[in-house]
Amino acid sequence: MIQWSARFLHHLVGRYQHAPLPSQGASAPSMPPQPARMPPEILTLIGYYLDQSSLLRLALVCQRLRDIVIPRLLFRHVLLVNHGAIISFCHMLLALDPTAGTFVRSLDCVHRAPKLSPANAWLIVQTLRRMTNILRVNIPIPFYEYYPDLLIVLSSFPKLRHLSLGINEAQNLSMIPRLPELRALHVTLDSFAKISASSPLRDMSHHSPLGSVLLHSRNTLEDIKLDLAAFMPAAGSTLTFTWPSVRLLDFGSLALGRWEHLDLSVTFPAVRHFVAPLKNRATWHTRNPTFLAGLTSLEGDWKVLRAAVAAGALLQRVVGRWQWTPEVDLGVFPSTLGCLALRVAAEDFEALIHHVNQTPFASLKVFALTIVLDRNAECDYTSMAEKVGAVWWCADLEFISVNFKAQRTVDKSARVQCWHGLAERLPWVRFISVRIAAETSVWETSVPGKSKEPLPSDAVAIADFYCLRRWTEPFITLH
Amino acid sequence: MVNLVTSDNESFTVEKAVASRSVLIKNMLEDVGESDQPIPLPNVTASVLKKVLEYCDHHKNEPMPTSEDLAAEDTRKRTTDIGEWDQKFIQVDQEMLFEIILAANYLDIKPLLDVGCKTVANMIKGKTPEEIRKLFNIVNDFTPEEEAQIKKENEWAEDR
Repeated sequence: MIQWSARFLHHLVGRYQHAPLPSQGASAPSMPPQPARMPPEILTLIGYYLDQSSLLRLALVCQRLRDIVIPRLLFRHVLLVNHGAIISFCHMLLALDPTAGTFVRSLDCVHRAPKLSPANAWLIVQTLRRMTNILRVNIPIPFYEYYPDLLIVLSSFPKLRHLSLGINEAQNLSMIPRLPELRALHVTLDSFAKISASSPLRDMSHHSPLGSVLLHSRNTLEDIKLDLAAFMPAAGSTLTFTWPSVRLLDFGSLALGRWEHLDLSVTFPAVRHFVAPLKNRATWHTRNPTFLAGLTSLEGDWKVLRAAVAAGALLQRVVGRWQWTPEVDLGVFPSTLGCLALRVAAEDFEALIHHVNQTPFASLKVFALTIVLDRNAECDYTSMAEKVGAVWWCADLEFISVNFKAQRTVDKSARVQCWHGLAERLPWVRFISVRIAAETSVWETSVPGKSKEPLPSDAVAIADFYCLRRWTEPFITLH
Repeated sequence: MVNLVTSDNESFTVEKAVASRSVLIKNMLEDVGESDQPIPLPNVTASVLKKVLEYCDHHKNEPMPTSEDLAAEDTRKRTTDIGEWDQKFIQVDQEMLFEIILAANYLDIKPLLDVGCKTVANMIKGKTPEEIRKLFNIVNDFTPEEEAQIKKENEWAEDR
């Protein structure tokens, strides 16, 4: 928070407000304030709201803005999306003063890099060592596959709060140190990985590589996402550990396995947001009414969602992970519901529209619908989007998203037409998103001059802002 | 009621609850106690204070942000979403927008400062450096070589 004395502010305001523009000469009257003359503290606040590429463009405006943006703001959240970017960033950072690395708070490496050369692996390790203030690391694809030693460097990050890793081999992870400040741990199996039944990754014990992290950090962890193939309580045993502070729990990626037999309200007593595993014959929900009753956000199949309602959960956010069918009554959800995300097959679309028109949602602000289209059938996108927009409560939404999952190539103009149709019908809805994901491409062209249309990628962030932020936000602070 | 006097010597009498949205004024009132003395605001003009007080009046019944809220805001990805009333409120000319930001900073009204900063960020997003210069009347003081060097060093940060 910025706090300064009136005298200091007077100095700053005077300094920046009255500095003449270079092009206008010293005799110009007092200049109106504008970004290049604002105090650096305020420019920093503005920069916090800009993404990496916007910050780079801002740095290219003038020297003063460059000096404010680089490195302090530009290095704050580093997102590297391909091998070239990873190597280019490392070279750049190592060429700078060693303190430049201390500005990095968050690092995302989201690309599957080709096999690293020893020289490049060394380069990455040296770069990581400079990020001594890093709080968040996200490496969803294990590009470190052939150099698991890269993970040893995590021991230089004593403040690390959020660790998100894709994994493939247990031995890759044996070097992960204890992380005393860890709040969020997301572990997903790389889709190419093969974990054998005897892999130590499957043990929930102090002796298994990540089991140890999970157990050592159990008093600080607030957010856990686990690929369940990776961690299992031993067969026939009851888990005696408790994670008392976990509020976000994502078991959504695979079947529940031996977790099925846990009393989740004992193991995870504070969970409010849960992504339930999908398993046809799972019965865990019948034994966990107390756990379900405490949830406010739930992603799961209809059976689990109904069980939560029956247990008395005051759900605010619901994501149906199975397609809606006419047997599903959406009227069972409590009036607290603020966000509803559904999937429906094209053949059930008309029935869904009829059903939701009969269902009042008193507090609904976000509605996201994915329509799964048949490969061979023709589809009138515009008409379907308009039918969604014509649902009577849609006019009161703040955000609507219609996502067509097509199996064939579609006309690019369809998306724009759908968007216009919805925008015309729903003038008071603040954000409208239409997406047509075809087999080979996603039409993401924006509608010119329509600022209320977010890019589809931003739409997810907006939906999260309304729905998930209240659960996730307090955990990762990047001061 | 609290009496505020601007740099151009205009006087505003407002409810204490409205004036106290400013942490600066709130702290002053707490330090000084009950007093009829006007509070001078030498860095704020009447036209800007009028706008700021309009914001404070609209939000006077909302809870003040706690230090926990403020810490939580500095999150991984900040959203630039702005509430409906705030959006309309901040639809002002550029000069007033920056004056409001400076005043919110001086008066320590964090939510108003955020609204102002988000608005400027939204104006900047998606624009090229040249478009930003044009928008804010900024002169390019880079040599072509300097510009090329910044681009080369930071190509990792470019849009793909």
